[in-house]
Amino acid sequence: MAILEMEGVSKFFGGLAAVSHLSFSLSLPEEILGLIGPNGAGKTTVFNLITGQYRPSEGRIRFQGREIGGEKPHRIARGGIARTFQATSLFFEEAVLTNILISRHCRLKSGIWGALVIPPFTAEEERRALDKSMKILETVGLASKSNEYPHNLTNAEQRILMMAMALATDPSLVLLDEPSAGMRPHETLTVMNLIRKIKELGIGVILIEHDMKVVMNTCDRIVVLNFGNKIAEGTPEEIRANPSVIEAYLGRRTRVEG
Amino acid sequence: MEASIFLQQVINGLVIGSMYAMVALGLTLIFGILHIGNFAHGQLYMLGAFATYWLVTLWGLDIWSSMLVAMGSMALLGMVLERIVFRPVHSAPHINGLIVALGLFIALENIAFILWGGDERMLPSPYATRTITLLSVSLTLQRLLVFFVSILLIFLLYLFIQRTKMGKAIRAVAQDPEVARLMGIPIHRISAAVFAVSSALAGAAGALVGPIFSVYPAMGLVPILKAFVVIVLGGMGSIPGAIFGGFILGIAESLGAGYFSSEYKDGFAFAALILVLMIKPTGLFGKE
Amino acid sequence: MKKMAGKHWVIAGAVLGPLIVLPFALSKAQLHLTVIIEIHAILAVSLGLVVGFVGQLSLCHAGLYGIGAYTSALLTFAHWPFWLALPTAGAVSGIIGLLIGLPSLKTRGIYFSITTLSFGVLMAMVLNNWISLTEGPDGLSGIVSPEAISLFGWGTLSFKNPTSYYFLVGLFLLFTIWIIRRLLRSRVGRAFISVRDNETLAGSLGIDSMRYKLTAFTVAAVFAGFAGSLYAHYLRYICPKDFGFAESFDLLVMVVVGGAQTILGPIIGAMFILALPKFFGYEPVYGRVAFGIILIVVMIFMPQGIMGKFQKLLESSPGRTDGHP
Repeated sequence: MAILEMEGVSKFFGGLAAVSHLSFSLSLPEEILGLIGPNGAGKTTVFNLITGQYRPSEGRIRFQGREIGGEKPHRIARGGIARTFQATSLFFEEAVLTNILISRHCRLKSGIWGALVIPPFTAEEERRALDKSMKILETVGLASKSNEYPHNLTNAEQRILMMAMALATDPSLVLLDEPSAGMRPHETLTVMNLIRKIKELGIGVILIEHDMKVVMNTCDRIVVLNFGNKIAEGTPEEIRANPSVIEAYLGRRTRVEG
Repeated sequence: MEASIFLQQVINGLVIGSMYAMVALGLTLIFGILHIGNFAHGQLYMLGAFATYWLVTLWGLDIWSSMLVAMGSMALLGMVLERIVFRPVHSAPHINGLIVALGLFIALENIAFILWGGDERMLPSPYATRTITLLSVSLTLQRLLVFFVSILLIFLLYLFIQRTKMGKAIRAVAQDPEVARLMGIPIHRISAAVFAVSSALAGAAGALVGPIFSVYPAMGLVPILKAFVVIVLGGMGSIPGAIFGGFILGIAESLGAGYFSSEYKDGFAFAALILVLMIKPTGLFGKE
Repeated sequence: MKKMAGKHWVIAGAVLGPLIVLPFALSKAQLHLTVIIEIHAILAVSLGLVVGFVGQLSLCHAGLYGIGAYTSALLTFAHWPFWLALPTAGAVSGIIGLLIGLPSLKTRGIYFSITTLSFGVLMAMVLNNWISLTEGPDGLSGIVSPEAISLFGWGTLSFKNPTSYYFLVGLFLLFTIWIIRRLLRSRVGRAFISVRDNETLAGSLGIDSMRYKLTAFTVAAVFAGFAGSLYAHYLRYICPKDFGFAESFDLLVMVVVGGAQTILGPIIGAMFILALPKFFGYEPVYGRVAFGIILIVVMIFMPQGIMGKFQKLLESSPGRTDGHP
């Protein structure tokens, strides 16, 4: 069963089509789908459409069989789709552990009553949330930095923290927008391992990346966009050999070797 | 009875509307170009009125020269305030700019109160006493002047923005401050110019309206509130929005006061504002 | 949740001890001022929730204060006991706050400030013009004091004197601090700060920003209502002028100068702003000029306020996991 289906989705801004009649789907729960294309191809727009930042001008978006096009972002997140952003987005005024704790929000229940009266339920819930948050930090290798503030982390650590926060929402699907941006080769390796670990957890991944090494080595399938249109879809080998893909990237500095 | 009362209210509305338009215009310039919600703008209106008052009564200047001098001094004051109050918080979160503007608003109003007391003063003008009859409606010459001088000033502003080099630079900054800076446009001088022009307009509004409604330190609050209503409804940063919005509000208020209730007349603008923002949180013509 | 360590009890005692003895050491005028400060501390702390933790400038807080005051006064005129009128005033202000918040919180920045300002102006207008209900500009006089409460064998505690009122409002202030502190240290509080710091990010994590902004705004309104009731039955005379834009502005100065993003900051701000003029021979006009200038200076040089600066100094140590005051 398809976990995510994009059916003829278009998004217009004024007269400009950022995305045009796009259709693809994620057919297995643990599939890693790569979304690549030159700058301005519409990749982040696709993410914004899925997570509710934008409402589709045309077409349907279905998640686990349910239509989600145009729903509010926080509802989509609660429904099980998490994302990271292209620009580093964190709560810089809070410690690393608090960032994760905040991300657990939608899986916890205590409200005002719980806050004021603190019944045993709330205390227990907070304890478990703290434990789970530390476990997540251990999984991504940031446990030692739990009390640090984000501005004291390296760029790579910050971007990994973003991924950890997305994971903390217990998603069924994670959208990663250029997770390895600004990273050095050994840091990129960490990201690739993390992506594989996410797959092992049974969570679907859609990955936007410019680093072809990451794309070719982690993705099961790839969708290629150019000027808002899908120009190719297939396995990494098929894409690598596809002439229209090569042409789209012609003249741009990308490492297509694997 | 109906027609002439209606016409009377419409004409009064146009007069008040032109004052709203002038204050709103300055406000929208500052907001559209510098992204500052300058609440203190209302006090430049008040100080312009007072400046004119003192020039006429103490120095015996005629009303026109007084107004010009008042406009000039408001322009100067605006530039000073931009430099020492608004520029330091320019890169801080927006809420800081709002707070600073509020502080300035209160400080200026109360300084005026300390200096001149709270009494309402009549700004003497030779035109306030002469009435003419137009289309079976009678109004003082002053009111007529308010309308026409406002139109003139607004037109001059239009020429300034569209035809002069400085005006083009201002428009460039309004469109994209980063690109403008990269092109070598001196942003700080633009800020000063925008504040100068806006403050001069506010001062002119105060000078023109003073003879009609009297001059007192607290007179800045209601016009600035109405000006904000106007630019939210007309579109923050939109010049035509400020102008037309000002006139429309003036007329609507006047009709409302005439036909419904005059105590709640001021409330009308705010109710309209709230209603519009409920439906469209970025204002009638807003984008963000 | 953290338990109060032993040393916290010592600190609490050291602070509360003098506060308990204080009223007996002050002159009548000073005691009166202190009660007024306490009431404004409640107002400032609640406004601080909106300004510091939602991050928006609300300019209608005095209006909600006024609604609480008038509601409580009018209910007691209808022979309700004060002890019932007080919570009802809080509830009424809370409901009005909710109704104001619903449209206002859809807007942001200057739009939000102007919208709340407009609501504030409208509320003051209603209080001024609905003469049959509120007596208009003349105000309501002859408001009753809270009924004495029996102390089960130790006599009755009357509230007709400033000393017992001092304790009444003081307890309420402690209650306010306690509630807000609890809120901020919970899941709800984490939601507040996430929405304030990065609303888009919070949304992508499943946090409904509108809901939490509304919650903060409504809680603040409830406490403004309580403060209004306490004020009305203390002064026993209220008029619309006490609840207009000038008052909203004063409250804002208290919050900002004291430190909007802390709980104790607004209290310090209230003390500072209300006590300061007394030292210079109180004239409201000079006070306001000073406030305006202080506001500008603080925003330029010390935007986190007194308490905020103090906390930053303490924060060079490892961060806290529930992050807040």
